Amino acid sequence: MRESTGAGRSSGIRIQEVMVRRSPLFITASLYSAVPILAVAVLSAPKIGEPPLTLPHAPPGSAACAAVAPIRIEMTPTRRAGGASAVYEMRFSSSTFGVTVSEAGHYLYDVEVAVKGLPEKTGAVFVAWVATSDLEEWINLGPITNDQPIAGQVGWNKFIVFVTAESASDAESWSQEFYFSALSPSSRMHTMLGHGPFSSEPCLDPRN
Amino acid sequence: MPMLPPLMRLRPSVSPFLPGEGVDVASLSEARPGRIVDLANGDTLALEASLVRRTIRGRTYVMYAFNGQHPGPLIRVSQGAEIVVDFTNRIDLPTSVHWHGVRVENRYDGVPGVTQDPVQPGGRFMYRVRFKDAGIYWYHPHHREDIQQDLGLYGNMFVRPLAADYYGPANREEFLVLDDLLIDDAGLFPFGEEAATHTLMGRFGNVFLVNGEPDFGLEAKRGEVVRFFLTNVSNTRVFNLSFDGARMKVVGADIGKFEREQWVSSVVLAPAQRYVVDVRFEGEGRVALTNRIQAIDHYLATFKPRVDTLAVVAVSEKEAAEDHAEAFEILRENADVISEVDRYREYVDRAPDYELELTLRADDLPLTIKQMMQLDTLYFPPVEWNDAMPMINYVASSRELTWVLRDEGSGAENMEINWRFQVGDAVKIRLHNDIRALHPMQHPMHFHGQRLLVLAQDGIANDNLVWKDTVLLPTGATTDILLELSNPGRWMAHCHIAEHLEAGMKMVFEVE
Repeated sequence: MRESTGAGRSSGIRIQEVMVRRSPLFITASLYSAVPILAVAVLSAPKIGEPPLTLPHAPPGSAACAAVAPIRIEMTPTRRAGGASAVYEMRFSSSTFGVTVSEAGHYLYDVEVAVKGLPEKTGAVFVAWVATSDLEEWINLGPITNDQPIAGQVGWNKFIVFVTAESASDAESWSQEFYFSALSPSSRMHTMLGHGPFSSEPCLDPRN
Repeated sequence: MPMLPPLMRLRPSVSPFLPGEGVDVASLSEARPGRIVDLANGDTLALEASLVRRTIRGRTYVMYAFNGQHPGPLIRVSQGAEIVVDFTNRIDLPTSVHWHGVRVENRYDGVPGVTQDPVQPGGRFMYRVRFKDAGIYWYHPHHREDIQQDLGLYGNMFVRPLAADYYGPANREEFLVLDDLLIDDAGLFPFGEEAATHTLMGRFGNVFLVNGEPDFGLEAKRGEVVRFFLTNVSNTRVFNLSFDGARMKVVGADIGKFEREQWVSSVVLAPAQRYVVDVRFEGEGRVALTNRIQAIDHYLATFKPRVDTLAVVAVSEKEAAEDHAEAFEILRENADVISEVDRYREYVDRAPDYELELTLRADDLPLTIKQMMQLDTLYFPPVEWNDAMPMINYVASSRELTWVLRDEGSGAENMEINWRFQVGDAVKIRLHNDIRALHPMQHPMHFHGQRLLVLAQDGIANDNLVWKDTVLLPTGATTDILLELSNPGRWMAHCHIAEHLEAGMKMVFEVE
């Protein structure tokens, strides 16, 4: 038997160092600035399928990996993006248990964002963000370029991934210059409140 | 969980069943707490399945028990021991006993239709059980598990390792059997007589039981390191367990130790799985064992955090007699496990020998349910932690749907599959949990009679292996396992959600 020293309170789940912000002062402003994001994200459902862009960090080449892929979501461009494209991929963070969740039960995903064809923008850097769908919390994943994807870990039930142009890569909150956005798959969960074959049925009061 | 009115009116196509029809509940003995039975090599255990009276939070039910105990007696033996179990069936259904995870001789594996005939009411069967591997195991019926296991027929087996320092030091060992029971105002919620109900997602309970108790409590001393052996015997529920405020490291799983111990913030425990965790209780006070999940409310399409306290550990001010604080801080690396699994590491990069798809055929569900489910295909959670569609689930019996294991090489499904191996073979099996199914769901897959390693999931190699017999496959996941064929005979592999098993999700493989 060999022994190694423990790592203190580490949970055993790899947590990347990312900047998380939650500030009531930011929220009002953020809600205004988020309108374009939400409009794009809600009106245009993210597409899962064959994207025009692939991430350079494919899983290590082996027979173990040949048949599988992470969830890959094509991001919706704004008019600013011109002909550029973006995609994000998510897969479970590594875990002993086959499914990776936090103590509170949130799924933990490794998310990687890549862009292609973004034009140079003088005095600005492109930054990838992840935010909860109520925009109460967000993470600056870091700067992103056509050559360099950016990755981080997400542990929220529903979230939005988006790319903005900022004056600094370590911006605490995003500006209004949005280029891409996409919802998490969980954001598309279907409500069963009266529609389809049941649209004429009286709905139960969900507060009861 | 509210459902739409048309769904609330649906009923399953099977007759309701509860045990002990016509029996005066007062005539039955009250179930007793489970006891530990230490057995030596060559000993015989008389094991009887019977009806019992069970009082839970002041209400009385007719349930089943092994030797009148909930859970059944904890069989404790030393590695290498062999015991005889003289089993008698005194319940009102045919049954059998399966020794989950133990590499027993094939004829004693307890699978009706594969290794034995069911034991009829009043009948007996002599099992001979040899415990080759150290670890934590459990026994349960393999005939209408959805009813019999849910109503109390389960118990642990603990195989003491031969080496005294197999695990790190701990002040003591505790065995926790986790379950849930579905009870409404009228009593136990009925099962399906001719076929299982709840076959879409399995039968979730609404009363949590630890060692058969809804309000389980333990005592510990300040500074004590307690080694918990956790077993999930529920029909379908996956737990996300933590001891609030206490540090926890996972040291072992189904069949022995991990290559490396790990700190964890919670333990995800699927049906039939076991994990071994060391927990140190540093300060005086009450520490809750909780199940924390993000439940899904399909009605509103939202996640709702849910915390259930399963048990409470009362930590006294009195200090532990022996202080293992220093050893607890050490994460051990187990050279014996590493060297044993080294010979299989090359399989990570090999092409799979077999591929199985796990999917669903649900052509005969009521139209309203199919319409509803066809609308609900935009998001499937990796794990169904709660019953988000209780009425749809309830009315779906194994008459209306079939859960499918499909051999992608031959196209054979479920019991048509008959893989053949030789003793000494090792095969890599790729398991695809089909996300395109009408209602995809996680599956805890159990392979009888052998050991397996989880090599990779979704293309990521597993860097901390442990021998297992049950692997959790999240929805949409692709998981590679290495199945070591060491034990001859005809063996079953199946999903360990009891209702999925009843709905066909099983196959046989033969080792010659």
